[in-house]
Parts: sequence; C-alpha cells; structure tokens
Amino acid sequence: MLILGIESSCDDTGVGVVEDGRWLRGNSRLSSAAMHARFGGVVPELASREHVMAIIPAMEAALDQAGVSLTDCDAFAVTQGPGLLGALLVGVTAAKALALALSRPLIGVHHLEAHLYANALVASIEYPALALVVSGGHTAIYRWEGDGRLVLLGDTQDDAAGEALDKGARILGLGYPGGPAIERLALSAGETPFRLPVARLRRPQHPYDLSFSGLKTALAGLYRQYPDQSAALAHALQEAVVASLTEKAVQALVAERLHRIYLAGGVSANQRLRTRLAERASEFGGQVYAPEPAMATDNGAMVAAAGYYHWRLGHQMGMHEGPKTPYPLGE
Amino acid sequence: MIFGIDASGPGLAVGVVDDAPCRRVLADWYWLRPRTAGTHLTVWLETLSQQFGRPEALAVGIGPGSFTGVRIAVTAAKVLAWAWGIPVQGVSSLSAWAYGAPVGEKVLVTSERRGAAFYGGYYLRETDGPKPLMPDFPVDGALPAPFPVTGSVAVIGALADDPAWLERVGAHAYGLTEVPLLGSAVARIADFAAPIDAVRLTPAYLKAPGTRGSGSRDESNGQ
Repeated sequence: MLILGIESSCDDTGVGVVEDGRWLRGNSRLSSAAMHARFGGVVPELASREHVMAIIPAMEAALDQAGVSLTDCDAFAVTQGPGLLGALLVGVTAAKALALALSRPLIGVHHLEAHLYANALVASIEYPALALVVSGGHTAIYRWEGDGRLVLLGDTQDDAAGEALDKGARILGLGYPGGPAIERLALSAGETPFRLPVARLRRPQHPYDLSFSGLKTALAGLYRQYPDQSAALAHALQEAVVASLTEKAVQALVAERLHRIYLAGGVSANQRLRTRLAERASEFGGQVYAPEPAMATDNGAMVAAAGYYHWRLGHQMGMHEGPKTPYPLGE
Repeated sequence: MIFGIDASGPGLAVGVVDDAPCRRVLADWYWLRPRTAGTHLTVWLETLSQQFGRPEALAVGIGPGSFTGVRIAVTAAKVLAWAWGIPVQGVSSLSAWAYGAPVGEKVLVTSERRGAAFYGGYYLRETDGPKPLMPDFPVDGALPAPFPVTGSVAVIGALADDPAWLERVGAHAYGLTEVPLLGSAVARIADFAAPIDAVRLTPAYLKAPGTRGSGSRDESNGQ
C-alpha cells in the first residue's frame, strides 16, 4: 500500500511516499527555517504563507523521487496536530483536497506519534517498548504498547529539551535552530569544567516528568562570568540536557520492565544523546533504536508511515475534521 | 462548469456556474459564519462534485481579507486543480463583492474591520463585471486618495452601515448592506484566457506577516 504523507506542523513542508509503512520511496522537505532565523524563532504567519507556496513543489519532488504518479497513491496521511494552527491548516486542507480529488482514504496522524514511526523506516517496530520523543516543542516518555497505543509516563513541566538548547544557543550568541549549533560547539570543547544543574523533580505520582527551565538561568549566569568560555558552556548545557533525558528514560525502562527504547524527534539527531542513552540502557539490558538523522526532524515520510499503521487499525479522518491543537497523546 | 470559492470574508462561499457565455448559476452556497472554511470547504466541494461532476475549471478569491480563510481557499483550489489537471484562476475577493453593485456605479468594497483597519477595493461595475479603478489597498485609519470623492459611490461590506465612514468616503456615498453570493461571483468574473499555473497561485495578503513573538507549537491563533 502506497501512502503519501504531508507534514506542515511548523516551519517544514514535508512530503513523503512510503510503501506498507516500512519502505521509503520518496521524500521531500522544503523548509522556511532560514526566514525565521533572523527573528530567533518560528514566526507562525510566515510559516503558514510558505507552506501554501511549497506544498505542490514538495509533492512533485517526493512523487518524482518515488517514480510514481499521484494516482498510484492508495491513501493520504497528514499531520493533524499538534502544532501551529495556521501551518497545520495548510497541510490538512491540501490532504483533504487530494483525498477528494482521487477518492482515496485520508488518515490524520499525531505529530509525535509520526516521529516515533520514523523508526519503522529503519526496521519493524517491536512492542512493547519505551518511547522517548525529544524535539523543540515536545519532550515526553511513553510506554508504547502497540500501533496507536501509547501511555504517557512522563512529560516536561516547562521547556522542551530542544527549546532549552535553542534558548541556550541564543544566550551564547549562536544561530537558530540552536540544537545543531550547540552540538557543534560542544564537540569543539572536548571537556568542560562547568556543571549545570539537572532538575530533580519531587513528584512521586509522576516520577518521569522532566524540567529544563532552570538551565537557561544557570547558563546565563555562567556566561556573564565566563564570556570567553562559550564552547565549554555549550558542552555543559548539552551534558545537562542529555543526563536529564537519559536518567529518566533509563529509570522508566527498568521500572516498566522493557528492553527497547525508541528515540524520536529533532533532538534525537544529537549524537551525544544517542551514544549516552545507548550506554546507559545497555547497563540494564536495553537497546536503543533511532531513526536516520535525516528522518529525525519533521518530514512527510514519518507521517506516511504512521498513516499506514493507523489505516490498518481502520482509522480515517473525515472531510469535516480540522487540525487538532492542543492534541494530547497517550493520556 | 466552473466551481468558485471564497473564504476571505465573514463567511464561506462556494458556487457552481455552467460554461455558457453568461455563466449561469447552478448552485450558490453561502454561510455567514466566520472560521468555517477549515471544516466545511472540502465537504461542500465534495457534495457539489458528487452532484455536478468534476468541474472543468476552478476560480478562487485570493483576498485580501482573512489570512487564514484566504489560505484555506487558495490551498484547496490549487491542490484540487493540480490533482485533477484542470485550470485554476485567482480573482480579487473584493472584486467579487463589487459584482453585487448596480451596473454603472462606482463602488468601494470594504472587508471585515479590525478597529480602523480593513482592506478596500475601488471598482466601476461595468456590464461585464467590475473593473478596478485602483489596486486593492490596506487601510489603517484613513482612506487613501482619491477619497473623499464627489460623485455617487456605493459602499459594500463592513463600512456600508457606518454613517461616519460613509461621510469619509464621499458626500454622495451610500451603503449596500446585501451580502453578494460570492461563490458564483468569483466563478463568473474569473478570466480563464490565461490560467495561472496552480503552483504559482498566491494569496493577495497586501500586508507583511506580523513578526511579533515567535510561535510555540501550541499557538492557537491562526488568523
């Protein structure tokens, strides 16, 4: 079954063509990130405008790469939320128009769940597993029971991990998006004499919740004292974020008696996170799986993959449905 | 047969006209309720295409007006035209409003207001449709030249029932409060002599995007 997936929840217009939820046939991503860089973050109206102009070129490129025509697609999938409402509306409207034009099923998928299904493009997902979604907008830990069945175990109580990296990058005068800039600079530092605080929340009912908001204050204080130590400070920031994510994920892995961790989201491209999480998980017999770095950021292929597994469950999106935001997952 | 779409104003409009020279109206649906395009536009198009079959062309109001409404209408039109392989043409949404003015009259079309901010379009309603007397323009407090005008001018839209604004339009300005059926109007005035490539079909925003504050993923105001 060939599914064309559309992702437009933020500043990337992504279109992917995936066969049977497993085999990537074509993928195209047109990003307006460079336009947002001078504002230090995504400007919703600007992102929405760019989606309108990018949606057909992105579809043409993905179909061309797949070597198929639009009529070869058996269904269409789209990110229904959460995300920027104006941006989501473009993708959802385009997907509904395709479903109407070709009389094909339409499947709406959750953005975070789609990120997790980027792992299905590497190998079949084996359940049950722990799922760690880490991006600029979200940071959450789930127990992944099966297709479409996620149970929220922990969530950030303030900033997302990627947001902490973005804010840190801004403090250090680096560009947007901050995650890759922090990673590059941290790598150049080697070791660091600095330690930033890893939040330890006292929430017995929610032991896997996370917090990153204290990092920016601590980082800003150190940067004022050591303005010429930005590489070492970037290293310290990355270590604090990675330590927080790793410890909570491994605690959940052990407590839930699981053996697999599926990593997803833009921050999952961070090599230090991948390495450290794999090291710590292996101490408890766990193994870490992650999508190809190119598939870690927002893309249409992950939406097409997620759409396939939801289609198998009989899920379809009605023509009268719109974007959903906020859109809790696994609660 | 041509389908016409407009979602730039306070409601959603879809019309169907035939391809006779006069473009006879076969259907005209209008719902005077904001923010209905996202949920109802494709449903209406589905129902109308089941009733009348696939159209030979699509016409769409490209604004100016509600950024979100215009975007939904333009996205639906361009993707449908691309998928069906049919021509698509964009027209000024304000010119579709001007279609409702009496023939021979000059007409000032005014979009929904946000305080003193709105969009205006100044047209002459000729027999074969509205002709622009100047490009559509954004207003934020004051009308541009040539207003106030001395001659008779019909005012359609948000200012039509506002005496203070009518006075600023001109001494002989009068309001037309009837909302025209915009779906068929868009389909009737669209000129398909040189249809635009669906990829290049662009909303007429007339204003730069607001850059105040960056968005979070839970940002909910898409207007």
